[in-house]
Amino acid sequence: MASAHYNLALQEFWKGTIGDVTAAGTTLKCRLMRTSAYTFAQTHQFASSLPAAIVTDVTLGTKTANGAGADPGCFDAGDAAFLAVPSGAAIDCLAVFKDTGTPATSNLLFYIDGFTVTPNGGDITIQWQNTTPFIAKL
Amino acid sequence: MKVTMIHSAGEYVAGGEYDLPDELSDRFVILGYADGKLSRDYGPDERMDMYDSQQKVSV
Repeated sequence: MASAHYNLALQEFWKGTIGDVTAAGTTLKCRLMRTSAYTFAQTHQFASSLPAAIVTDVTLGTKTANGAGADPGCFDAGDAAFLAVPSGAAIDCLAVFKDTGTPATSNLLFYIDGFTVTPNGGDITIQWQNTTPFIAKL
Repeated sequence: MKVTMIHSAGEYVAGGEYDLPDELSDRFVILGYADGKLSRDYGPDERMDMYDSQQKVSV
């Protein structure tokens, strides 16, 4: 599986019903996962489809919709450091969702894989790329 | 100490300002998660211990 937007999120973007996800009052969270525990599916719409969090989800901040001012359409944010991730099997995918406080209403936005990191009990920092598409591009 | 988060780290969100316990704020500054002042000097061994526990992955 390659990284992808969730189609049901794209539908919400087109309808304008998902709102400004870069707004300060909108909480976007990133969840680390294992592909052994989660299989991406375009039928997934809400965070309730995700497996339980391995470590506390990180809220993205310094959000922009123009790739650090250089590329409209690209979503970017500060890197995400997950603190004291328990040792265990490799972590190899993540999902970003709009958190409402209730998983059953928290829209999944996009899914990223193609990386792997085996937690050693310390922090894991997800470094978003600094060129297009930054974190994700519509 | 007061810090401004550069990255999101745990419950602390990038762009936010937080007044944290010294040990935590120092750790965040040393690891590059936040801008701010250290509460004390840290030796190379102490810093290395922090760096060694940190893993980074580019996506």
